[in-house]
Amino acid sequence: MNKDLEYVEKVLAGNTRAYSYLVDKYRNMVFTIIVKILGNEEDAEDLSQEVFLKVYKSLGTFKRKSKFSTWIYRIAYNEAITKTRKRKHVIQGLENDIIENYTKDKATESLYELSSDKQKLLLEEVLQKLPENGYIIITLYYKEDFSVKEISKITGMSESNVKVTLHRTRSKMQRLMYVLMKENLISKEL
Amino acid sequence: MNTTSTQHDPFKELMKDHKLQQPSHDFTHKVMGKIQMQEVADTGKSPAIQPVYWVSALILLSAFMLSVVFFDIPLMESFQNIFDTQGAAFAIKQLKIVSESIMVLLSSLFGNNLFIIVASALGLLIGLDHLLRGRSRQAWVFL
Repeated sequence: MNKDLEYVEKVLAGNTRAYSYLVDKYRNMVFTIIVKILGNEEDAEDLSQEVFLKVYKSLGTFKRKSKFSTWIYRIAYNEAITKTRKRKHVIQGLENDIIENYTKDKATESLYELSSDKQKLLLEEVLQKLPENGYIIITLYYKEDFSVKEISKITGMSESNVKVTLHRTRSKMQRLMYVLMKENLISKEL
Repeated sequence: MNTTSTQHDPFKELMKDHKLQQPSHDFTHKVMGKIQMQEVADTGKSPAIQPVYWVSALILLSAFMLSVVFFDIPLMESFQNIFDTQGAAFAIKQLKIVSESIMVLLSSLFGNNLFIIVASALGLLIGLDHLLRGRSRQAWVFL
């Protein structure tokens, strides 16, 4: 049996303390999703706690058809959206930061020229600039290894919308990286 | 357009090292505390503290019963001397009635086995008290 399910069963059998394992495991991602949507750490902390309370109370209704993580992230996502009352199922449009003469290959090529530490720093800077939905989808996809189908379940977006958002966010990240790398080079030259 | 392919994807490896945002360090503790409080509110009692609660209640009741029984022997005279009325004796009689009621209540709550254990322990203690005070005849009755 999956370890998450094992702990879910323990909690359902009356072992309340077993729930702390699940809280420890998913607190960061739940908090990250919520803070990204709410844009405020204090509110996100409170709402994250409420989400874990809600999950605990409705543990009996968890149908085990999806992964426990998919279920909990979906609750976190919905709660955050409800709180802000700005349900965004519309694909995030790309902002007007498209640079002329840009090509993906150029960006990727330049990226590989950097040391891995610099790549990581650059990535963090790029992630900060992403719109909330783009960031959440990219994080779920790369960091949490969720499939498009699972991300669709979490966000309530259609699978094709997830795919398009994923593709556009990746392109945007590449473009932003290229811009930042260029800026970096210019400031170094100066 | 293969939108989900991560082949030659520069972000695949980079994102593995991306650190998620973290809530406060005592986040889990806070959540578990809230759950416990919720359970107390829902059930009126916490399963975690229930045994402690019952043991404490039993100790308090036993102490109360013992004190009432012992009142009868060493302190009754003192009470009567102090107040010099029949009020003290009456009060002690009332306390004995209460203690008997508690014993009956205990036996109905926990069954006869526990009642026998408590009653035996009380009998032993009272008997020892009599023995120590040189009242061997009364002591044997209890022992």
